[in-house]
Amino acid sequence: MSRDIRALLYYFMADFRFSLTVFWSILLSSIVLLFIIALSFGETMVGVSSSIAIYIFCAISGFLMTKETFPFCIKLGSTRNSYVLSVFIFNVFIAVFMATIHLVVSLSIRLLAKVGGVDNFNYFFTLDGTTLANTWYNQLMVDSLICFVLLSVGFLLSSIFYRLGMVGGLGSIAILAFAVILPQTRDALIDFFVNANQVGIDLRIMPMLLLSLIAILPTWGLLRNASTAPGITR
Amino acid sequence: MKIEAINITKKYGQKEALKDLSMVIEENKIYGLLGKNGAGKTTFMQLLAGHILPTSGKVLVDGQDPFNNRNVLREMCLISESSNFKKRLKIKDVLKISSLFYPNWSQESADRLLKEFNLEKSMNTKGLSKGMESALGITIGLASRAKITIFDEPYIGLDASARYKFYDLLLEEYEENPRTFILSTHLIDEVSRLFEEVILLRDGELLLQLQAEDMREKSILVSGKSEVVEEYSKGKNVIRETSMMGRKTVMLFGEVYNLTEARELGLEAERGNIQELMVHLSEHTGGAVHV
Repeated sequence: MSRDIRALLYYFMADFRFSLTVFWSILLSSIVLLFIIALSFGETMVGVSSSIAIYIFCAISGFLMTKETFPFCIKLGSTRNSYVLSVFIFNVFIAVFMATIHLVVSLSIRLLAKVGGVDNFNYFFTLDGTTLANTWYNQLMVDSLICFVLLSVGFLLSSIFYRLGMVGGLGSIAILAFAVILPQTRDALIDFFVNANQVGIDLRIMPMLLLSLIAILPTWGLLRNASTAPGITR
Repeated sequence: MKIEAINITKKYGQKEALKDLSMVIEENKIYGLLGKNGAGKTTFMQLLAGHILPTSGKVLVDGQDPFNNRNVLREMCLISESSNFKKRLKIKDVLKISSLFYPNWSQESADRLLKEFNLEKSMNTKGLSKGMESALGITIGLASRAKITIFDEPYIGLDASARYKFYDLLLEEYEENPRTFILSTHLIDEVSRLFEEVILLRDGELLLQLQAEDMREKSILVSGKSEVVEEYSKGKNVIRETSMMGRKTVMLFGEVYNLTEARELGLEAERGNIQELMVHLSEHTGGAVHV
């Protein structure tokens, strides 16, 4: 089992290397460019929040996971159980990796701005909007958690599309949309994950973590008998 | 590893790709899995490799179901005509990943095969031509040293010289490390010399499973004067018949035919080749079940 999981993790890493390199190259270039703009035009206020970009990357990566990796892994002789478990481990790793890189980048930029006396460059974090203390470990924890939630939910959605085709996938999105549109369910959902007050947003860490962990069960249920061809093509 | 297919049926919607198929594949032989397009060859291979589940029936490899069974899958390698690996990785990554999945992986073999097919480890799989992609698939299949190695038309895009190189390499590998090879191909003339046993599918059913030599022995292609040929073929299973200018040619199949006996009647006689036999047996009018 461990050899198979090692093989799958190596596969995912080799596969993700390209997207990660492209993503961080573009994000870093954009941050540096904005920093230079702030440095060059002292009157102009520049605000940057790279967290959103990271969250979008994680959501898309999770959403593409099954379609992009499942058939190849099964063709190589992996079992469905090992696959789901490996993706879970990989999601944890990617979430922590993204949050760590983000932390290093943001701290470096903040330090540069401080040393260079660039007062018109503001770097916003998700943490700034929460009630949590503004420390590096809280930032790491919040980013890791949000990335992990998005990767897990994206992976679940990806598996729904893979197994049940467009009808199943779009149907699930429609149900989610209804849940967000209807005030009662929307409020219940928001209350489950966050507690908004005048000071800021109080993230409910345990329910978020629970959602990410529980998402693996329906994903496993969907993939345990899945074939190497997506549902839509069969 | 012995493979048993027991009453397998596989349906895709209303279409039955395999119909109550039963057969046994013994270990350490080279099998030719033949049939026309849509005969069910790919479906059968995918079932064997645990890619899909049958609608009913069972596939057993050494008595175990291969689906989701790592004990079986580590000894099973199916190389298809395309989509064997993600087209974003470098060849060295593909080989490294494969080596982790197949416990009997031979890096020495892989290196040798890459050299034979002029592939560089640093190449990106995205930029490979169809022939190079096939060569990489073949490299993985042979270097995996999986006890059951299945090639489903892996020669697409390979030129004739590379294909013949592959046939020689396969035989070399087979001699050095005996294992079960299942080859599905439409280039039967080229590959038939490798087959020890032939499995012929038609419309999802097993039409024939015979030793390649027995298959040839049980066939005869005779030509000569129409009346002599007609007399000779009377009561025999004719799977192909052509007439021209008072001469007739027939292909017979089903019993051991004596070439000398036919020649003594003034007929030209020779054994049928596997490709011709496959073509004519697969026709709905010509083929009877010869299991």
